[in-house]
Amino acid sequence: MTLLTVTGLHVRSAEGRDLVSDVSFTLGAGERLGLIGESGSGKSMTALAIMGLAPPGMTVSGGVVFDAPGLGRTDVVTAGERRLTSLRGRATSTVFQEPLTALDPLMRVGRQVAEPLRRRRGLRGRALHAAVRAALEEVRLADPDRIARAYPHEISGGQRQRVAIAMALACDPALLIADEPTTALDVTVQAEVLTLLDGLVEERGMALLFISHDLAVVSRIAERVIVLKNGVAVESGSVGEVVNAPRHPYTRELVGSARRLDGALEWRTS
Amino acid sequence: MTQPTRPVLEVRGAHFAYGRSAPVLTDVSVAVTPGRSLALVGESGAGKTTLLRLLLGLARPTSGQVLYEGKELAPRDRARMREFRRGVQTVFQDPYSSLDPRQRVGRIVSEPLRSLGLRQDMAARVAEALRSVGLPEDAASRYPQEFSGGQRQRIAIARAIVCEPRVLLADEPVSALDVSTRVRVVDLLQELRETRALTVVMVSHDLAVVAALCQEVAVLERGRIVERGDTAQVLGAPRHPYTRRLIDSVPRLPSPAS
Repeated sequence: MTLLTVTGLHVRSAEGRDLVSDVSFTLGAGERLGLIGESGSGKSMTALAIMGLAPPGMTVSGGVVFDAPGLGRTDVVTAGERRLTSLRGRATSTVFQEPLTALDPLMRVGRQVAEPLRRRRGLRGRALHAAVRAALEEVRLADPDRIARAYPHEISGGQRQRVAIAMALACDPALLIADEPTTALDVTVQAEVLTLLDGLVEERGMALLFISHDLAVVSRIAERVIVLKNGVAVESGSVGEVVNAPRHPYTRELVGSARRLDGALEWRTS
Repeated sequence: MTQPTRPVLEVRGAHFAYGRSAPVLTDVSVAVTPGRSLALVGESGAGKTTLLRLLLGLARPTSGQVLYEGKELAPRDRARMREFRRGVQTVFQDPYSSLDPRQRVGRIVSEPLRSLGLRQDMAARVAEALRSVGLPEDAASRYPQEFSGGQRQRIAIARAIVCEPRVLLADEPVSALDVSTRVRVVDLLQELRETRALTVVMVSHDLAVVAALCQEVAVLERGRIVERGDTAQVLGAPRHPYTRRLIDSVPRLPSPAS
């Protein structure tokens, strides 16, 4: 079943610059798509447009149609804010790069996780408390009660990103958008968070749109990829095809650079 | 037995703590041998940047020593500090915040020459430095914001090499750059290392960049050096469990065979 259909997506800035041009793809339930590109390639803008969150002044055209079970068909580009609000969290939810800015610094972690659970599932009191605990446990946070009482600055970057993931999952989204979710993390923490995301997407049968500049990270978690350059999708295919037999010159350069750095780690063969 | 080369820069038994809080560095010793580029590897909070600050003379160890050419750094000895500043220069992580947007590139690059009192042939030295980092000649008269991230990092590198230092201390010099730019800046640093007899001391969490640039590695975990040695040895056959975990965590590209 097709969950998301993006057709001819176009985002133009207030100055008339094309940030995203004619991007099309579909995403089925449980599918995992990677969006690869360097800075300025339009990958984050694509994600924002899909969520109906393009910054003021941007002109979005084309189609972004969600068809999530139980939520009906919605074209995000033309839908009103009320309709979009009812979709957010349930049709799609997002994890951003920097958990420190995604979380409210003045609110205890537990209250932040409770917010979407209270609003969407109408939970109160003890039931809400239990749901917060369960949400923190699901993202494998040891000692969830301590984490719930802590402020964001009192826990580590990896723990903060797990909290952000717990919040994103609170309303059971059909699609999880992860925009560079591990870029700000240390490499060992990145590995743990990728394993966590991988497992959660699998268990919940969620679709995943994973945005990253890092080919190796994307290949670890996605099945298909789209390569963006200056807002244009220059290549798409399975991870294996794109990484091992890139066709577009830009993809070839990108893969070549990544291979060179990757190759520096080949000790046993040299 | 051959006489081992004397380290150009060295930290001996350094401890460091900010105020009364838990120590950031515990009994850390590293020596920089001329011609042997060194990477300080570790994750956030491991003490890499503090160690780099000690090596730069920007902070003093709570106990232990920092030596330049065998002699302890003496912040009050201005002549020696000038010599030290000339011999040890630095490049920071973020090329957007490390260059003054109100100064032309020529003035930014000549700053070390001016502060070291090396005013002879300044314009020629700046032009030469810009050329060696692969920037066009007219770059000197432009402003940093006219350049991309990778070019800005080249400007920062030009500033660091303009006084012909022996050691270049670089704090995550390529981690803010896109992958293709990153490869090019790594190539540039490699080339400068060879053509200018420059020893690079690099703080990095990126093992691939470390492997490409440095002959030696010291792995820091929570303020202690847990493993050190030749890069090939340490990364190829890690002995410490933390080093192994670090290497196993690096995301790899799927191999063409699979």
